[in-house]
Amino acid sequence: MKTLKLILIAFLMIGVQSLFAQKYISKDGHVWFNASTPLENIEAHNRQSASILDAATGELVFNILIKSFEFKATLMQEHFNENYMESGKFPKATFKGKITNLSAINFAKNGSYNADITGDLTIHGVTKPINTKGLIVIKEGVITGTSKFIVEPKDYNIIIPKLVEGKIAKQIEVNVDITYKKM
Amino acid sequence: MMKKLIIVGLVVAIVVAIGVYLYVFHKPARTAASEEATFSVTTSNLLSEFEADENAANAKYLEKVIKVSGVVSSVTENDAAIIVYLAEPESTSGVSCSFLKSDLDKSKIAVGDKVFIKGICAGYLMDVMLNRCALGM
Repeated sequence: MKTLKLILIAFLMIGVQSLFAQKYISKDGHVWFNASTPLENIEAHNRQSASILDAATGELVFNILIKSFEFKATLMQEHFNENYMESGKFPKATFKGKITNLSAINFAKNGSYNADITGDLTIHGVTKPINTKGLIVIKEGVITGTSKFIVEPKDYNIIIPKLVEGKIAKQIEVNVDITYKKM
Repeated sequence: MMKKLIIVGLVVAIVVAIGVYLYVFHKPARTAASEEATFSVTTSNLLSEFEADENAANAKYLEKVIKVSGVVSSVTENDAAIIVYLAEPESTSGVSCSFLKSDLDKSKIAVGDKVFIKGICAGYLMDVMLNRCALGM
């Protein structure tokens, strides 16, 4: 009788765990930014961002490597890494935050959901709070997320020399497009 | 005679200036193919170094060309690159090798192959990331 009870409890625990362990992972998220001005076209893409989304708690983590941003012009990429982002010293940018309107998203049902996202963004060793909106699309169990937000280099102690100041946008638009798999 | 010399000098100067301009602004991207590897390691050893002390491993490997040996567990393609993934058995991590599309003939690589890949180390997320890779022998 006692063993039966134990087995029952074990089954229950497994059941409860799978119900709450709704973690999703991606290693190939696309993050790109546009810092173009009328003087210069500046765009770079990173297709290897890693992210974990916990559908049960709304916790959201992003990690990207600065050196994996690809520019069209090699020289631009070098300046970006060496002079502005100092990617030898600060190899990663991270976001740690939460979806705050989790109750509005049904991860079990196909649909498009607006997500309110808030958290800490760390770039160039500087951490700042950030609020943004995202769109979560659920289709047959596949979760895709997109978001767009503005980052200002000066907020992250990124110093743009006077000489090229006019060529690089002061407000840089960052885009995220990511598809998650069940962990 | 003097005039001729000045003209020739000017032409040479212009050609050099154009050359420098082209080199600086359109210089080819650095790829692993054209460089000797600084380090040669196995997938397991590289991963365990990053797992043990990421900062030390970053200091040692970032921006360096690394030759890594391992077994191909997947080959995927995105808009810009082909990703060859060397998984570590019984681990969720591995080494992710990104090739420019022009640098890899996909017919030369298959899941299960034991390979040597040279790449420029970009750092560590869930996997160790090598960029601008080249397939070695």
